[in-house]
Amino acid sequence: MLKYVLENNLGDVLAILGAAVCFLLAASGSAKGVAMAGQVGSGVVAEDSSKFVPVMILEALPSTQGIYGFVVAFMIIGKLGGLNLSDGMSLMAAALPAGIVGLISAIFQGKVAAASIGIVAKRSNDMVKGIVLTLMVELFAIFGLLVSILMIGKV
Amino acid sequence: MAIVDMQKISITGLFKDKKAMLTFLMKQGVVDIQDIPIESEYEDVFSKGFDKSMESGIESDMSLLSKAISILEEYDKTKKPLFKVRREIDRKYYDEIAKNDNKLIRLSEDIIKSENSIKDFRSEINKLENDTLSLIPWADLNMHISMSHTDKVKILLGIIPEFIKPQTYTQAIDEQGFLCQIQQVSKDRNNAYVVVYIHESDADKPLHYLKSIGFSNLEYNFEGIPHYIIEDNKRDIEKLRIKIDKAKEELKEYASKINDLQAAYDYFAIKKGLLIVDDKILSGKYSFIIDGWIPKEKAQVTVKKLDELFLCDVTLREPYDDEQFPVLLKNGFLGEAVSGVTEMFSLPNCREADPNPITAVFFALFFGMMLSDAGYGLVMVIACSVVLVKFKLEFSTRRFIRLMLISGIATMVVGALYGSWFGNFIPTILSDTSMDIALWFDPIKDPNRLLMWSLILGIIHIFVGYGIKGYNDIKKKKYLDAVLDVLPWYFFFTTACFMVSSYIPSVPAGIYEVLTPIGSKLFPFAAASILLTQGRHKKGIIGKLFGGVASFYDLISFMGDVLSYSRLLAMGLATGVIATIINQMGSSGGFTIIGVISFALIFVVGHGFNFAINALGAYVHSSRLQYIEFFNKFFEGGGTAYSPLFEETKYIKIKE
Repeated sequence: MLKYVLENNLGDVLAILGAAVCFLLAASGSAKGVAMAGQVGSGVVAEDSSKFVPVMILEALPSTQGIYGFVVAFMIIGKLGGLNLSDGMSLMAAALPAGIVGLISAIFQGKVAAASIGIVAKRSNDMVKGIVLTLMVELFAIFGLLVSILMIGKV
Repeated sequence: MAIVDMQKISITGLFKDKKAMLTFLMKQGVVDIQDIPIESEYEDVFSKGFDKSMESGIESDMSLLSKAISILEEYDKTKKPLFKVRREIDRKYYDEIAKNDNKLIRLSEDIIKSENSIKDFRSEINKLENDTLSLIPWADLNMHISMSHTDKVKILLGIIPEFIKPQTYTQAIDEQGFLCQIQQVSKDRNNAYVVVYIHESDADKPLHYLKSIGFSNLEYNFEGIPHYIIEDNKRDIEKLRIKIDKAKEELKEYASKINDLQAAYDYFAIKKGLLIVDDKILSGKYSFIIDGWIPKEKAQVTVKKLDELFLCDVTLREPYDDEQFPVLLKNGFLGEAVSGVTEMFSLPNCREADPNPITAVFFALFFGMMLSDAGYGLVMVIACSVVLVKFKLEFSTRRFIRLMLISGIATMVVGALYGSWFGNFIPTILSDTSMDIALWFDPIKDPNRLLMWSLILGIIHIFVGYGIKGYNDIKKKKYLDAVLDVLPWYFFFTTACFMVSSYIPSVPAGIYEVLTPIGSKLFPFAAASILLTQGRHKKGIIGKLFGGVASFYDLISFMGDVLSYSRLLAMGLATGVIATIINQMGSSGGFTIIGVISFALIFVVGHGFNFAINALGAYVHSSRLQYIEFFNKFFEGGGTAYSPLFEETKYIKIKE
């Protein structure tokens, strides 16, 4: 069995698995985060439609994790083709930071975004403060993306 | 880079001139009138405040006008500009409006009345339509619908479930010998509409039977034969429709007056401004006192004019050293463009440097690095230039567009350096994806190198922040602080960066082999300098030492801040990679007619989406880097905005 695996370059399969997991986790996290913010946001817009733009901006913030997952998956896909086993496993491991941190940070960012929409509901002028608070969570997703990219670069 | 110098102006004038003088000051629009507290010994000499009933009178007029304006906006068919600007009008026209204010109030009352009558007509039509609907099943009934009996016979209208056939009940009635007859008038999907005639002598039993087969009685409040009622309703509805059309025509005619109404609204807004400013002015029996701030450059002219026009005493003085004065920023193109972003954080206070011009440079640079596509930048530059040249804009819109213009230019430059024109569009259409058109290097191929440059830019940004802090200290004449709060940190951070330089990817070995030993040797001295200087405001030797030790923590937050700039790489890569994917998808159709058309479609939609999401990201992340990493180092903020008494209007701008 081991001999078969080593001889048949199953590295590609592992790398694809890594790309899939990375995108799946990060994008579903973003979907959840955006949805949470969107639900609160539509309530606010229902009350006062002039607040659509700030609400939309805040709602869009947790969507970046999905984009990061997409970028990492794409970079891994670019590496495919005759990978050996250790490279494949490395790529799979490299996919994890962007994927897992993306999943978790997107959900938490969605929570902060939803709360920040509450700020907008009360005082439109303080939208920026809400954005800054929401972006604090984003930093960790960015680190996740970076770590993944740097690791992919070494494979 | 400038916060405008202010002078305090105090005006004492004759009470009879008060209104004229306030009107004059309002036209000038330069004096930010301050509230003067009344000292207790002068309480019986001076008073403040204004007539609240007059204020509420003006406000009710304004709400009438704004209601009328919003009604007319629906009927106003003139073309609206893309960007809302206040209309410029002559002072003469404005005075005309002011004279006719009552007429315009009456006009807006008329407008509201016609709008209300339209609403009434609509609800009447609604009611008639509902009536008609409920009468339609009885259209074939040839008697008065309200007739409930004759001499001997009871008449009931009602419904029987549709599935019970007429034969069933006629048979039953015959068999049981009831003095009762049922006539079916019409039926729909669920019910049959029937008239029941019952002889009064024996009404209970047939009624009981009818209940058992599901008959339920309906009563109507109409007079007359259903057929005619329906006809009448139709005629009435038609009449009401005509009335509505007429009222609408009327409103359409009024719509040409919308400009006058808007001007009148602003006339009342100005009037209100003149009234409520009395809250800040001391008024006595014969005189009044105004206290306020005026920009230094306009002070002399205003004083001269005041002296010419009124009998009054005006004094000017410089602000005291610890006195806060309102903040007015005066900036060139760059500084003005970004001032909206800064103001969302806070207005600088009157004693610190205006950070806008420097912020503008970094904002645009970081925006460019995050959007990082020359094609997108080109689109932004063209769109913003067209808007700036072609449209009249209000101040806040104009400065935003300008900000986007400089950000677009930065995006173009960075994109060209990275070799990204709509992603890899150029290599894609030349079918040579390995082609490198980057003027500097392509971050997708070498992200580590860009990471290094992002961090270096971050360090520069933060160092500039410390530099402004030093500048602020010099401005406040705290020279010792200016030196000790800045230089030790530069020294400390620089040695720390040298020490870790070998860990940062892409730093050439030749460089870090030189830097690391220098850093390691100097770091203890730098740490000592921090230890000795940063606790100096604390009390006692131990306090000072602890204060110094505690400041080491700033190294951690400095590292965190620098790492935060890695988003410049991450966001830039995200744009580039997605753009590449879009081009790949588009070009998969090959060089056929269908392939080219689908490429065009995918290109427009895909790049449009990529641009929108990444421009938004670049905007908010670039703002964040200013707010958290940059402003934190020096910005005190908390300035009050300069808000002079001026003709504050919503729709019009008065021209002399």
